[in-house]
Amino acid sequence: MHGVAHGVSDLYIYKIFKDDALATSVSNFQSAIADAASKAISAGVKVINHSYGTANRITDQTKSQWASSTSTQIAAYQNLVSNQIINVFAAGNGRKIDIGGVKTDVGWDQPSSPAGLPYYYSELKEYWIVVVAVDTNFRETLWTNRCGVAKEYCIAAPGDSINSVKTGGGYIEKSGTSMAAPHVAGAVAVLIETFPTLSQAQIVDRIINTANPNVGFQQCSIYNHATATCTTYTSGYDDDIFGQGMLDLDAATKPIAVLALSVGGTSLSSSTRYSLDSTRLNLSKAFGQNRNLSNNILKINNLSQQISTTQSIASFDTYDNAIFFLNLSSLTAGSSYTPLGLNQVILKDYEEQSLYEFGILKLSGIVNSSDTKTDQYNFPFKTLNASISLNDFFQIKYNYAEIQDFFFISTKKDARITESLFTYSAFRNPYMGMSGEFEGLEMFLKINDKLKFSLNYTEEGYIQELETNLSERKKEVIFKGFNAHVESEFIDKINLSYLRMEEEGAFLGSKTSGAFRLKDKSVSDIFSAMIEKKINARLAIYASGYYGLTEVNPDTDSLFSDFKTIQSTSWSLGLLNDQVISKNDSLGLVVHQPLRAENGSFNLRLPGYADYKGNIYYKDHAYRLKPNGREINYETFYEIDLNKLTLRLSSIFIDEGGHLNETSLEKVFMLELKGAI
Amino acid sequence: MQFKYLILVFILSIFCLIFLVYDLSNSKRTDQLSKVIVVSKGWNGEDCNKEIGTKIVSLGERPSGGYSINLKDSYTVNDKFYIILEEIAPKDTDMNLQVITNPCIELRIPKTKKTIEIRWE
Repeated sequence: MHGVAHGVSDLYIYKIFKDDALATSVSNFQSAIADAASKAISAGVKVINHSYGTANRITDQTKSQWASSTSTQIAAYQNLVSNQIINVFAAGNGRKIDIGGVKTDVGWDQPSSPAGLPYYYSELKEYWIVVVAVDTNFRETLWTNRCGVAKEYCIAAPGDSINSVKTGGGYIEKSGTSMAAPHVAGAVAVLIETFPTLSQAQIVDRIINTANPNVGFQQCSIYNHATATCTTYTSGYDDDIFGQGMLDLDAATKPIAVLALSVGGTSLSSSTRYSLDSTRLNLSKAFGQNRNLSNNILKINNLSQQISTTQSIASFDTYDNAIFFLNLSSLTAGSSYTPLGLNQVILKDYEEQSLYEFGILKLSGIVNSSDTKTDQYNFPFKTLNASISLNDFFQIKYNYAEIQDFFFISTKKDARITESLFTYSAFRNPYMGMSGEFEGLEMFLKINDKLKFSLNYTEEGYIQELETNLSERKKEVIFKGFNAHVESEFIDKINLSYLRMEEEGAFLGSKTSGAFRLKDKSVSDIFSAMIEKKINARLAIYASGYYGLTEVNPDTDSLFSDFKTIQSTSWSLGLLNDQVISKNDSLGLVVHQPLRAENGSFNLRLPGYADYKGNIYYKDHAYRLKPNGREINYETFYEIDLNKLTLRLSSIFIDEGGHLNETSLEKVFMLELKGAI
Repeated sequence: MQFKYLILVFILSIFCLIFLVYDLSNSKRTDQLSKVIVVSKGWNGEDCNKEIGTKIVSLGERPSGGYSINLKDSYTVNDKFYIILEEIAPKDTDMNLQVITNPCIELRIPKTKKTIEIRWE
């Protein structure tokens, strides 16, 4: 058996009663308590249990009467309180009075003396807790004094049939507020140990404020609990009896308000606070994805693995700066990888339409595709392309798209190869989201039949993959840049582009917030090249590569202490062979690496501990961003046009899916039907 | 003749006096206090149950410390052996532990064929 605060090593016991005295007169007691108080102060005691008292209610005498009779005793308590020592007092057992064998309730509605002394000496309150006793059913015991005038700093605790130590060894069940008070004193000791940053007054406040008034207190009016008529409160409870409620150590050791991280300062007062709820680092696919394997085993990426082994970090209750430790991994998340798995049949029933054509002006696009339904997507999107062709050699085109943007850059490419792979990601810009809003101005210049040139300036905002709220999406990421497109007879088509991507509160699609706050927008300079070369009339080669340099600018008052430039890549190779069996078919091979961080790292300055003076101690941890695997997709497809319907059979093999160091290949087989149905 | 009756009354009175004196001598209180020994006192019933052959007297539940039982007197009268106990209760202003107690006293009583009677004062 052990007590509430069984880990306490420094336990002091001061004798205030004489050996042979079962009752001690006040005159004898006063000097004893004064002596004990001095010793306790010298020993550095932080909490004292006072399981004694008189039969007098505190209200039975006036302040001056108490002062004249117990001045030494009161001075001793004032001395304890001025040394910030917490005093836990038994309310007293005066309620049951046995007069000639008849038990009479004499209405002990007030705590006894000295438990109720703060009623007259309010300076004691801050470090004072009065404890009344209940039984295991939260019934008011038949002998306990009530909180009464002390209800502001009074709580209830178990005091009926409590295992206690017995003279000569062993245990014995005892009852009384003397049994209830040590529960609270023990709870105070637990809190002092748990929350080294809290002052003694804050510890008292935490005990009082977390006391639970809704445990189902019962008030019993007669003395034998076996036959008692007890009343459960239909609403609320009587704070004149139970004060602030039942001691709740569980609640007292949990956050009362919001947990926050303190960063950027050496002390609690000088640091910047971030709510734990708002602090998140959600990593995008580029840094590797987490994957559920069989038997509930989670395959986690490199960064997640580093974070999960990190020491706990310190957070603080905004209520009173109580310290709570948590694992950093609870604030971070990697995107999760879902294998494609089953064979797919995809039906597409949309098609770009020419809307208006008059002279040099041409409008085309997809105005409303709300009825678009495929196995994977079911969302509306709009596109609009307005072009002005001044002559055969010069054209200006305005492109607008909302929600789905995969036309950009790949507009001129062969649809058969650019739509390769289930996600259409092989030859599209991997830095962009699948959906968003963009507009661009494109200028086409035809030098001669052998050389065509186009320059495209675009601005667009697209959806961060991790965002779900549509209204938040569009302003998250801004792309600005140029795309130069050259067609010549030597190499057919070259598409070069430079784009600058600005991300607010994110980097490479990884969302940051709260204590992971970034000072400025992250900037990614993205360079890409795409080449198409026809080997002969039937065979063509496609190649594309993307390279990005991402500068992340953390806030000085954030967990990030350093952030190295992130390099990232994505590339694809394609081979297209037309007229394999018939004139309308083609056979393709695509090898593709999705966006992947090639290097880069950041340091986190994590709050590890705080002392009682409020000083915060940090530890620096470095994290590498490069995933431990490299996902490569291998796709082969066969496509044949059947009038308005296109049939496409494809197989995809995915190695190290989610950039996880997996050994087994993932295999996907698909059948696609495309066209107006 | 009248003298004879007087002598008879006198003789009967003497007999009555002798009987009265004899009876009074049989009812006389005998002090036995020194022979009753207080073995132990305590706050719990268990505190007093230490030796074989002793008698335990409990006070019943009391709301705090500060209560005890004192052996005040013991004596025999006729065929009864009286033990006089008193409850010591704290004053309202006395400091006591706020624990429910069951004060007891453990007494060693000399062997007697008389009925033992405990009286409280």
